[in-house]
Amino acid sequence: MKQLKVGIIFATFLVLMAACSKGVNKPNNENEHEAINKIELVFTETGGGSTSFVIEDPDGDGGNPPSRIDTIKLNSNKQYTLTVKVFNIVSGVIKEVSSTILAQATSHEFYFIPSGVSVTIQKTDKDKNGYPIGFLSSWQTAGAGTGSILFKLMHKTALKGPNDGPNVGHSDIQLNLPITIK
Amino acid sequence: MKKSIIFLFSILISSATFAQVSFGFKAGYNAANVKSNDPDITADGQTLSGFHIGSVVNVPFNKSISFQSGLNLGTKGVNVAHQGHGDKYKFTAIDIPLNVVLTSKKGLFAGTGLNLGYNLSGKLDAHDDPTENYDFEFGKNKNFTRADVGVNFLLGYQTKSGLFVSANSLVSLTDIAPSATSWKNNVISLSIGYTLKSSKK
Repeated sequence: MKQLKVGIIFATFLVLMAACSKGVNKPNNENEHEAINKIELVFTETGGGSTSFVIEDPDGDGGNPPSRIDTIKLNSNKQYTLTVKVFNIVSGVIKEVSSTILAQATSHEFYFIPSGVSVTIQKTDKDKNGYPIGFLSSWQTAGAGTGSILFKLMHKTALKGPNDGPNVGHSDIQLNLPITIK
Repeated sequence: MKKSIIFLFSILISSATFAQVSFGFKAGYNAANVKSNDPDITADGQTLSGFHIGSVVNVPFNKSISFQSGLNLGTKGVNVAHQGHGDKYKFTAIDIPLNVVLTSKKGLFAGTGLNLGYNLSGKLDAHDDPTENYDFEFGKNKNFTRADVGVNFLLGYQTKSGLFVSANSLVSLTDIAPSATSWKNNVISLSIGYTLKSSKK
């Protein structure tokens, strides 16, 4: 009788464990945005015209290197407004997914980290919590030079704060973009 | 809160001098989830499987009512869908339950009470790229706070030999995310354990 009770307890425990494990490895993916495999950076000089630079990375973040990276070319001692546009390309069909990311702005943030060039960058748009996003930013260039911009889109579910460093969360985009200021 | 805890421990200590205090240990499965206003979690948050191990201290007031506490080490968090895989937001925490437990003559027991939790560590386990794993920062203006007070709802069955199984639902009352996002850790624990025979004081 005692052994039977112990057996029933163990069996019940194992059944409950199995029941609770169900579905753990099959998340819904309902709030997920499409993979980003094309980026367009539109720089508008204050009082001047606009110039676009394009990055294409068919397999998205990670994996193979991008198939196209334009060198960002800016003038020295000028003020620019940058608008970031992101796209998903599947079988030649291009879909802009900027609005999808914007709808999830409370868990996304762009980062622009210059290296080798003198440029001051400030994100100018904010999500509904008042935290920076980075679809819009102002760029103030200084002297001429050549370097790179580490361009990141961080996905940080529940982790986003007002002054996060660039490593909070995990990246949807992480690219080193060449830049020349003349 | 501090006064309440001191009061509860006073009861525990004074009762212990008169009652048959029993000690035990347990281990089992944790099904963790999070209550949050973050749309990623509300849409794609799924159970995060984990474990717990712990001790049990039972101080009976009479034959059917007892105060039950202990010290548990276990996992909390949530599994969130991201581009075809799950990103694990995982905490390792210690918990001190402060439960009042009713036990029937046949060994069934049920209880409820406060839970004092403390997050020892936590990380985002980015399944697609381990180089992007991120250790949570704890503090007032960081990712999360460490203290986590909740409520326990306990059900179980214990044999006369001391072997027991139990299910515990821990519902957090503390929003541990200092940012605009809310985050309350909830855990359903299934335990199997053994209570050592009581020694009369």
